[in-house]
Amino acid sequence: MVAVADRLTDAHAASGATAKLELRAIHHEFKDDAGQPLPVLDGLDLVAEENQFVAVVGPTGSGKSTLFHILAGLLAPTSGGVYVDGRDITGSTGHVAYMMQKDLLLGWRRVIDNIALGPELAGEPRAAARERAREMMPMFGLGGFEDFYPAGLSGGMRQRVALMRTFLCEKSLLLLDEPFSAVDALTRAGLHEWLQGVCADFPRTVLFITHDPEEAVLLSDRTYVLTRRPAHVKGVVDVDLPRPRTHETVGDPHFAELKRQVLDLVWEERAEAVR
Amino acid sequence: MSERQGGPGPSSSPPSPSRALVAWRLVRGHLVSAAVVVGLLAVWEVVVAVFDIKTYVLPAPASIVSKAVTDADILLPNLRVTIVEMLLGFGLAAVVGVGLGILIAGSAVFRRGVFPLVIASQTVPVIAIAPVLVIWFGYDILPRVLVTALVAFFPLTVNTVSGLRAVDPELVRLFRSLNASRLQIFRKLTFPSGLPYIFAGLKVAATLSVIGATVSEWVGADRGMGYLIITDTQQLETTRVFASIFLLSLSGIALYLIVAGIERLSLPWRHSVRARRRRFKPSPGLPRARARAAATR
Repeated sequence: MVAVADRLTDAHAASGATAKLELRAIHHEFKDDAGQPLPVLDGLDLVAEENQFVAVVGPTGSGKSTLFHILAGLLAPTSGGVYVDGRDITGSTGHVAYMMQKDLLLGWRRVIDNIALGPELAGEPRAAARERAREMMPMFGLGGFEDFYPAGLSGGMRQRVALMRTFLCEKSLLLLDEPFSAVDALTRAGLHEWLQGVCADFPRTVLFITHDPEEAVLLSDRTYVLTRRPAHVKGVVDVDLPRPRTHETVGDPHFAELKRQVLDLVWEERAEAVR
Repeated sequence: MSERQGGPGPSSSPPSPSRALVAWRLVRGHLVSAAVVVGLLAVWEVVVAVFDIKTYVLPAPASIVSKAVTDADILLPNLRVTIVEMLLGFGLAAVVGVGLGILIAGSAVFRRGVFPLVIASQTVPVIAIAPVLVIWFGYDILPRVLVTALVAFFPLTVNTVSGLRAVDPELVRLFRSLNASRLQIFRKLTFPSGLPYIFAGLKVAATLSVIGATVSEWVGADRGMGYLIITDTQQLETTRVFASIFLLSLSGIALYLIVAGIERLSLPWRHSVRARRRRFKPSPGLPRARARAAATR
């Protein structure tokens, strides 16, 4: 574990190129009911390289959803910037495709037309978007479900559809906000392996927000731990476990060590919170 | 990886239930309602006979039916007039009601400026406005269509507004994050998500437009079911009044069913969801259905 600031400069010096995603000193504050400023994010820095899977772990109420909205361009931070490929995209939409705990599927559209939503909104003719989606359905383990309506699917299947829709939005960055926290543990384990397979087939830069350190270590190349509100980065853990990682990886001593590092950061933060 | 490739998939298309079974399900659904109607008519018939109720007070159902047949040459031309008014009034209400709803839901200016007027229009008794409309537009079909629309549009507007505003704000955010235009958000999100509410409003408007068309003929009309009922009442032609009421009621039911049918065609996801749930219910006698249900979990 290296101090955050060092880590960022190191990463840049080493690569010599601009990172895929960079958050620079993001500050954000809301006004509470009495008009008093309520700081939520306090100088948050984060870097994700091309096709890297980055997890963000933070305690409940640490401003993760504020961060989420800033990344999606739905909210402009009080100060600081969001950069994609070195380009300032702070407060502008259209660069990030996201998915949430809630699948947000459109009940009146069949699975295939839900999946084709991104290209359709981007102006592609519906039939063409649908055709492209149809060809990719089997690669996402959704073959045969094209003509179902979302209400006919189980929770796990709905999350798969939502994730495939997110992949097909053709954005440089995917933002997954606790996508699997609403499904049961067994389904989640299956979805973890599935997601890794999808990411291997369709490489993307992914930012994965979660409150589960084990999930973060299992999926990510790098895990950021946030402090409580107002949030900044508490520490970073690089995850160098070989892929594909399965349920057996969880028993690996190195996995246990990395997970302990993340947990240490989380507990350190909690101890400070109590003090 | 291999697990993902070979992931769950539905088995070959489900066996469709036999035609006879489908027909029986359809009939069974309507059997109860038919039985209740027949029972009520029977009680009515018996009560009139046993208590020897005068025909001009309450005619028996059988005599109403025979009156409807013998006086068909008077009833049907008048019914035709009323149905035309009803349909035109309903059509006008549908266009204006949904249109106003869209404007009110979409713009704060309309919500503050026009919605109060729309509500105010409902507090004025339509029967009081009808003579004024006759003064303005003459003894023609126009004032009657306007009265019909005036009676029918309000619940449609209210439903349209509620439906369009009930859209999940998270979905609006999702669309915005994908750079969707306002028109795209309306066409692909707000409108389809509000459509069930709009259809609920259309069904209410369908039943109200029968009332509207009938009432509109109480003022300044020389034909139509409303006009016929008024003149028949004055002459104590009670049996024919009841025949008229039955025919009006049937017209209203017919319009309602047409709207409900269009709803079914327009919202296939609502109905096919129900159908699918039924099929997915594991039933011990159908191993294939059980396998299919397991595959999707």
